[in-house]
Amino acid sequence: MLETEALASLPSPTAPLEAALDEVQRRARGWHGGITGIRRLPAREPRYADLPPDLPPSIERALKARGIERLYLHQAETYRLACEGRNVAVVTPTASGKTLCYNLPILSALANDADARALYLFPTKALAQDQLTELNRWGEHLDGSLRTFTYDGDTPQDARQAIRARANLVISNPDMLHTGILPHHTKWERLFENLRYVVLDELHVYRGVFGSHVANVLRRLKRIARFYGSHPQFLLTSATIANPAELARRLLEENVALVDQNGAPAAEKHFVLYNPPVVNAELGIRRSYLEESRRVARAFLERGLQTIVFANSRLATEILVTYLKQDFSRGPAAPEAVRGYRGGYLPRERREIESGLREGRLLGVVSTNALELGVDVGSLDAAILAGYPGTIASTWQRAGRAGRRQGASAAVLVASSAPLDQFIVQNPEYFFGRSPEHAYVNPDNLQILLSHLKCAAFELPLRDDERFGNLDLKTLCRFLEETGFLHRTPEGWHWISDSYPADAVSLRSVSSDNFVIVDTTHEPRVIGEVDFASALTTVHEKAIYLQDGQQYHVERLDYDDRKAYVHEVQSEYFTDAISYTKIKILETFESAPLREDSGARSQEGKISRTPRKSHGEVRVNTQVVGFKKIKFHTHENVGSGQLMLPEQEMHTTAYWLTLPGDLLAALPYSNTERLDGVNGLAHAMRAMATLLVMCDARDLGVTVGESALLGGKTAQSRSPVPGPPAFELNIYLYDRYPGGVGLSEPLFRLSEELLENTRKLIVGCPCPQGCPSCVGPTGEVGPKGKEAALAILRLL
Amino acid sequence: MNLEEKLAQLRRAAHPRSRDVHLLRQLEYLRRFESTPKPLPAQRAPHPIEEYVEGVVERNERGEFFLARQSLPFGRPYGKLRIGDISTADLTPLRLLLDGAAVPSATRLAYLDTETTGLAGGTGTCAFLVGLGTIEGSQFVVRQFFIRDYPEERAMLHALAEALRSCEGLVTFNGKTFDLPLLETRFTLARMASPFTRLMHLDLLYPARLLWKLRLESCRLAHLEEQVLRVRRQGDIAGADIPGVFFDYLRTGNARGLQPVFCHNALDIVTLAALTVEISRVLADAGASSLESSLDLFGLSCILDRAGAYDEALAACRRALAAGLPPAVESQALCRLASHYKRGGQYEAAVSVWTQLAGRDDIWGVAASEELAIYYEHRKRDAAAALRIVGAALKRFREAGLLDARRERRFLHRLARLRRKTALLFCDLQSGRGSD
Repeated sequence: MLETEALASLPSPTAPLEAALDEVQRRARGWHGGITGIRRLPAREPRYADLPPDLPPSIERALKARGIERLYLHQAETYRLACEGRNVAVVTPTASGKTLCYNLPILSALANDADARALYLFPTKALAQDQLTELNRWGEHLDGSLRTFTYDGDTPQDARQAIRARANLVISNPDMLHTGILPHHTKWERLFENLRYVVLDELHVYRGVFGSHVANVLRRLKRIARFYGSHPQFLLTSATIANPAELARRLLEENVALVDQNGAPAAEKHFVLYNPPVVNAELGIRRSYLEESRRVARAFLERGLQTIVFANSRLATEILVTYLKQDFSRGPAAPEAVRGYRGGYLPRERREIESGLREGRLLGVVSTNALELGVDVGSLDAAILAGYPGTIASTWQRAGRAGRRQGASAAVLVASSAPLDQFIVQNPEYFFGRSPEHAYVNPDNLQILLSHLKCAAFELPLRDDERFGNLDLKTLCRFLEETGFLHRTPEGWHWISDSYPADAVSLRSVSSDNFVIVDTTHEPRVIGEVDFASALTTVHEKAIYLQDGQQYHVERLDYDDRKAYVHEVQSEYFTDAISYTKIKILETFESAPLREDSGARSQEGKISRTPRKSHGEVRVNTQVVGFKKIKFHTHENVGSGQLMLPEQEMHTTAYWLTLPGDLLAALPYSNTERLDGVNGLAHAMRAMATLLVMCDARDLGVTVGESALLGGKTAQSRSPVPGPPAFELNIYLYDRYPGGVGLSEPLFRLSEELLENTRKLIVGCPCPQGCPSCVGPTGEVGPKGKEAALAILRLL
Repeated sequence: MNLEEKLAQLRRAAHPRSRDVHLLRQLEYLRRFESTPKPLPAQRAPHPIEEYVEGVVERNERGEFFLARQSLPFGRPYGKLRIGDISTADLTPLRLLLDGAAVPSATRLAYLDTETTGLAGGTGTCAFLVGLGTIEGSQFVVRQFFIRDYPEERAMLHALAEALRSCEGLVTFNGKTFDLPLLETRFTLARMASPFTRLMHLDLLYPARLLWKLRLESCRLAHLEEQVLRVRRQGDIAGADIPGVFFDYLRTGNARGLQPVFCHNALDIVTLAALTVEISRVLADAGASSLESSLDLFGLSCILDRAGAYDEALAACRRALAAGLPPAVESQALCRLASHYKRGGQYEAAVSVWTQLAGRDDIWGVAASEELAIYYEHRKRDAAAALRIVGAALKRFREAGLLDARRERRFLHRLARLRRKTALLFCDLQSGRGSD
């Protein structure tokens, strides 16, 4: 969004805002929980730079016509670097005029050279739409020299040819580039011959599996551009993360200059971390964060402050809308002044809500992440985050929805009892300090690389002397030859299959192999999908499957057709699958003692006394062998069942922590308690790992196993611990994507930070004996689990 | 550094290619998910194309490729035609299909058909065999440009462009959406200029569909060949099998399987030429003396209609109706007939056809009712009559399930407007009476 300086001065909401904050603080006082961190982020003065002297006159005129006489520092800096021919990554907060950073050099290039072309890639349609509107505004001042078009899945077939011929700025997304543009590059000859710039917005979104795919799409893009003789420059933007330049370099495999000196002004903002009070210390249960979010939101809404509430699921969104509408059924505002917003609403309805917010007709909106990025809703007074959004970057982006303009604003994060939420609110320094979040990709993940190698060969024959990734191309091509996809000729490897390889690769889903959930209560209808990995533990026969608060009993799992047949029930219990995981270390890439000084103490021929960290390649075998029935609320075990499901095998990468036997032996506990401690530690470590490498809990598997000290021995989870601990235990955190997407090596490097955070999480949790927020529920880790976990951490 | 680490380091030093070993192991694992491997190049038993197809290796500045050539003397019969007809037939009626542009002489036309590595489209699909039919002297010559492997593609495309130099027009079957875009892509990939831009292009698929779809269940080229040209093809290879045959040849070097592909392609070219003659004949024959069925006659009227030859179209339509058509087609033909009358300002004739049609329970009945309503509302200014028609039609066609959402909306819209109009009319009458 473009920031202009002269902004309509709205009546300052400072007084009601202070009052609302006071009320929130009053409510919180005296509880165990309450407000754990509050920061007043002071207003920031703008830092300007003059317009660059070499701007094309038409661009300078357009800037002035739009009221821009000067640039912010980072905008000028990006322009300078871009003109030097560098790739640039801009990392500044929401609403700092980021888009002008790339628009200025690119529109200048297009104005100077009628043949030049640019390609903008956005991860969501909303962002693309937003940018199209912005560029059309530019277009009004640039009489015909800027021809912007969106080319995505929604572009009508009959318009596509005209767009290919006319556009000099094409807006698209990585998915469309992958399936629609690159495999038909000859139709885009003009674009590729003259491709000067590629924009990649919201870089931090391209991490993990998605990012690893996108890195390969970029390899293909550059390869096609080379074929037509162009070498595009990349301009990137990212939310604040710990390693934006590293991520950019890994995605592009080129040097990237970083611009992170923000010159944009910001108004004063209050940021509150709010922890609902504990109502049951034993089980670590806090007051419902939704209920608390409702109250906090009400404190702002009642004072006529425009407020956006973010919820983490569609269901939570609906619940909060219902609550807030109830609250306002007797005034002061009309219930219609609060609306919900999420995917699934009609476009017309959404546009109406967006304009309602911009024009002040709506007082409040409850939204999923649909409003986190891109959609213009104007400036709001307060943002309430019902639950931690999963990453700190997202938290700041959502909070940034309040206070885009002048005048003070407020953001309140209301924590749920999930471990990450608890860690964040109990460690405000961590949250407000430098970003700890690292985004990683592994473009050389073999499975991902091979899929894109097929696509690349389809696009142009692969030559032996080319580089595509960092693995031996000849070996890979020979493999694809043997499996019938490629054919070797003296001039390279040609695609020989009657298929369209891009159709077989989806950039976003971990696996296309999903189970469909069919509800047979009434007319059979599909109510959802579950990815393969989760399916075996969530929709096995006799499981209770939960969706949108409704319970379903799984009648039948059709494994071959990937379908689960369910019907609605009212059950007293839920089910928890019992799975059996074996890990075998195939190769250790790196291994090091956890403490530098203790390495020397190990003795030859004996089991090392030193705790170690390692990462490498592993084989994970998982089998769901049964399930437990757990009563709601009391969590009693009220039954069980056996299951015969096929064993799953996966080769992937893992990070593991080795706890030597004598270290464990030194603990003043029974063997069972020691193992409980290790399991509890593993539980907490996984939660903290997801924070450091910005992934979802389901992206990381965790298991504890007997160490395969001399290789070859198999680790087994939940195995009883025999005799005195003359063995080692390994805590494995493994990448749940076959081949790994680059999570294990960073965890190895960040080991110390990971363990320190894990300690903070467990220490900070007020529960006496373990709860789901830290080491896992007492019922699962045993009464001494929490204590033992902390004891182990002390020894590390 | 402890012993374990030293050993690990030694192991790495002893196996400097451990990264490769690692890769190979991963590949070995992935291989299990692949289908059974195809024959490897190591098992090649070369049987070159020359062993199975008559032709020569051609050489030009871009390299080598294989060229097969066969000539068919004019005297040879081809179904109900003779090969010579390709040369002698009057092709000028084809201008109806070319927006009136002049039709090149028969000797300046090339008939083109490709065999490809698939139907997927995109840059990964290649035309490995391009057949080109032309008239040379007293023969119809089919030249087939074939690549024995991918590196020969440039030479082949170069020769193809050269061969097209003396031509002015191109005839294909579905070439607009398939063959030509695919070849254009190949020329772009080879960084060569496309030879097609300057050529007139006639794609027979469209006229063939209009002419024969009503009578024949399919308009595939092989089907038209049998039904329209009365040629019986024996032992033809299925189109879907062709990419696999070429891939097998690439892998094994054995060209035996390609022989039927060359045959198939050559026959397609001859059929293409013969079909051109036949279509031209039909277009010239609006008098219908030789048309086999009233359905073809109606198809012809549709082509003429589209080409703007309204008088001829009307005549053909009338004759088709007179000869008798199956009910569904008859409705469609009546609808066309009425449109012709309407265009010519013969409203009474049109209304009588529409009235006849409106009683039918098919989509043409729906269309006719709409036309009648328009006629009464706007031409006769008789809103009440229009209202009666719309009301009755809405009820009847709704029950018959003939109204899609769009049509239904249109009807309802019209109904509402007519109700308003008639109500106003009623008011006018009343107020008129009051002033009496």
